[in-house]
Amino acid sequence: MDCEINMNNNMEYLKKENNTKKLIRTELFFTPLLVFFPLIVGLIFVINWYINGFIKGKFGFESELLLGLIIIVVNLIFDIPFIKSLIKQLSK
Amino acid sequence: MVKTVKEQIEDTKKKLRNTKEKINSLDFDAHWYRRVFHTFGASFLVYYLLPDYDWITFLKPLVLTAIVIFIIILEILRIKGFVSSDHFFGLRMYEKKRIGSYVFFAIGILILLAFFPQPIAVPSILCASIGDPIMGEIRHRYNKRETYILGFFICFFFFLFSWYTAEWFLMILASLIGAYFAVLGEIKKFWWIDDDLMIQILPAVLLLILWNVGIYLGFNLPSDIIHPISISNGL
Repeated sequence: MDCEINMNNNMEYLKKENNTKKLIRTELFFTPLLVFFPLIVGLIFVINWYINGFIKGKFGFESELLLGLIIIVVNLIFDIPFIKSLIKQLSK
Repeated sequence: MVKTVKEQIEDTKKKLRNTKEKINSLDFDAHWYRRVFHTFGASFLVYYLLPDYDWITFLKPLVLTAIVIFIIILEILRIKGFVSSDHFFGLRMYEKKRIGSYVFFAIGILILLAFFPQPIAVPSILCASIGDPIMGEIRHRYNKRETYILGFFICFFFFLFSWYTAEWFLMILASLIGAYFAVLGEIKKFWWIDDDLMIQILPAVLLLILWNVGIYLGFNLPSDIIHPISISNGL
């Protein structure tokens, strides 16, 4: 029963009027890591493909290109609304 | 100036509306924060890019284990009350007195990177870090049926490109098993174990069985899709 109630409140986050500042501080602290690190990793995958697969012509690096592009594109798709919401939150 | 009863009611209504807007915007913010935290998980695949060089080979599993141990210790301190839950942005209500989903997420990634072959670990991590937030967004906008169908195809694609060097029927079979159980891991909710762990481990365990059957029967298994960076030649 308890589990059922908890699952129904799936989208409910911990929030109190007085902890908003602390929460935003945590969010801001992690933002550079969450936004830039995946993009850097994605870029390394693409560069690894470019040097080994494209220039040196080695077989089997196409998957790294695809993986790099997936990581970059998906992260950008989620980063944009996240940053927008963060800016909106900070401007209040 | 004394306000009339009608004005006072209007003021109270306005205050309530403002508070509701404030709470809703925080909800929205936490929602995107959790999504970004998920997609960040795909960065752990950098583990396979690290060069196969003596001290790096020795150090990389240790660093990974240290990160997960740190997260577990932090979580124990949070649950015991030594660290306030107020610092944990995006934490859900039911996670306040339970292990947070990010711990399950980290443990799942550690298990996959340490104990599973790369063609199983890579798509399983992608299902949790990319498939899961996409499914979450689809569920947020459409209904459950569409979520599971689209989620299945997304996960199927991850397994397909990770197994593309295997024999074609093994590639299709692995993709079907992987995608089906990844979505099943996402659907099934338990209070004591998070779907962030299930979505990764459930398909991985079943594919490990398939992997061993493949070895036993002499099938052509997939090769690694991520190659470590060579130190001598730069990248």
